[in-house]
Amino acid sequence: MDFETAAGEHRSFLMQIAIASARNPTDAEDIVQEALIRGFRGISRFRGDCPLRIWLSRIVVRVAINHHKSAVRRLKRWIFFTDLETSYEDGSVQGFDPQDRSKDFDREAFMDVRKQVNRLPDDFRLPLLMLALDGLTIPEIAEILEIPQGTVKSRIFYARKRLKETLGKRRR
Amino acid sequence: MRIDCQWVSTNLEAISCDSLGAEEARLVRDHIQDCAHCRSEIESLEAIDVVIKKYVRHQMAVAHSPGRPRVAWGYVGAAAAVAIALVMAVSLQLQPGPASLPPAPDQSVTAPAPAENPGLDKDSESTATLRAKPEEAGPAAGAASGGPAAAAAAAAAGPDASGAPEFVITDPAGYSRTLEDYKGYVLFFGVWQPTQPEAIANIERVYKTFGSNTRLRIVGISNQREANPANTTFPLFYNQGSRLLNAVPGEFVLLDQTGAVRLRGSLLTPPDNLMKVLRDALQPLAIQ
Ligand SMILES: [Zn+2]
Repeated sequence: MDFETAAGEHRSFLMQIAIASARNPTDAEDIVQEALIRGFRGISRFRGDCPLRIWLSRIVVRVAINHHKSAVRRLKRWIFFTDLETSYEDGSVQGFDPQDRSKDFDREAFMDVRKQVNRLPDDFRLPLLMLALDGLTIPEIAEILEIPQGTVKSRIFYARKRLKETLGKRRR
Repeated sequence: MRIDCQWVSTNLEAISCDSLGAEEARLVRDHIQDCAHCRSEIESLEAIDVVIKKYVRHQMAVAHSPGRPRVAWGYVGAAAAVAIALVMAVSLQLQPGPASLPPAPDQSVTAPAPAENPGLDKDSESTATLRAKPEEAGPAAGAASGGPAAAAAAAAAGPDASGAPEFVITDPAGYSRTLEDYKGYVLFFGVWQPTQPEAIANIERVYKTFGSNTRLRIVGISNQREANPANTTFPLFYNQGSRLLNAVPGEFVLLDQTGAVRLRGSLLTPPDNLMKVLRDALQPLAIQ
């Protein structure tokens, strides 16, 4: 299977990983784009010892972390030709309910959650948010982050604990 | 073994991570059933997950929001053009060659704040990161004079800190061009090497299709000095070690009249797809 087809297939999964990894969700698309460029160029290094989507997810995570660090906006966009079929031509995004979810949160509470989540170190923030993605399991998170499953669990625990303290404090 | 509130509290991590032995787990369950304090301790941790799930769902809605342009030409706004101009100003100053430097664009322009989520404090954080690690900006830092905009531009210009200029190409007669020379034109450049017949054919196809348009410049760039491959007529340039906006052989970049990147992609792709994507990208630039 060629890379573009594969990339198109995993795109919505990678978007989820990018949303969990990015500090700003509007960066997620650019992060996936850049990760796909890197994947495309580095595909010869893919040995097939993990599923392709896990390998690509690792790139997404690295790009997301650097994306935030670098402060450089992605000013360039890549078009993979499979994108045209999945998102451009029909104008919809598969597997996602586009209705506005922002009403689930009152704004102030949301800002607080975002601030506290973004204060967590990446090592703790990523496993916590990834676990909140539909269908992502601890073993998969462990594979993507390349850490043992026990470490994933323990980091999730500490992230929860930390948020419980910081969010609780502000609650009126 | 006795399980009390103290034990639960010190072993909260193990409880939460399901790493207790079967017997311990049973005793903990028994204790929690009778102890409102420990129960609420554990439930309040689990409640965080509910909040996080909501939060992630919200993030997804934002990332997928229909207001966000999904195609290249909608994406690069005025701010991006400014940023690219700054990037080029910095990189042009780094070039060893040219005798006369083009005038730098107005550097007083403020940092290209992304038009998104004004609430997030990420920009201030990022600036702080840049300031804290000036060495990351490489030699470009010296060329840029102060201010976060200049710092951001410097960082953008030198991710590999190699000091290589962004874009300098040379034609067979030995004349070199920079992006400044293409200002006012739409520029399509394709990077190729002799082992990529598909890329070569695609560049030729683009040239044959759009080459008669005087507001569009089409060039094929190789990293070695090469002759035109057989049956091709596209304008030939070779790269003098510049970064070509990070394009590698087998890729193309399309820039608009202001020098902003509108589209990038692979030349190793079926010609029909490529031509369709290009047409769609050129249309808003008033090039048919
Ligand atoms: Zn108790």
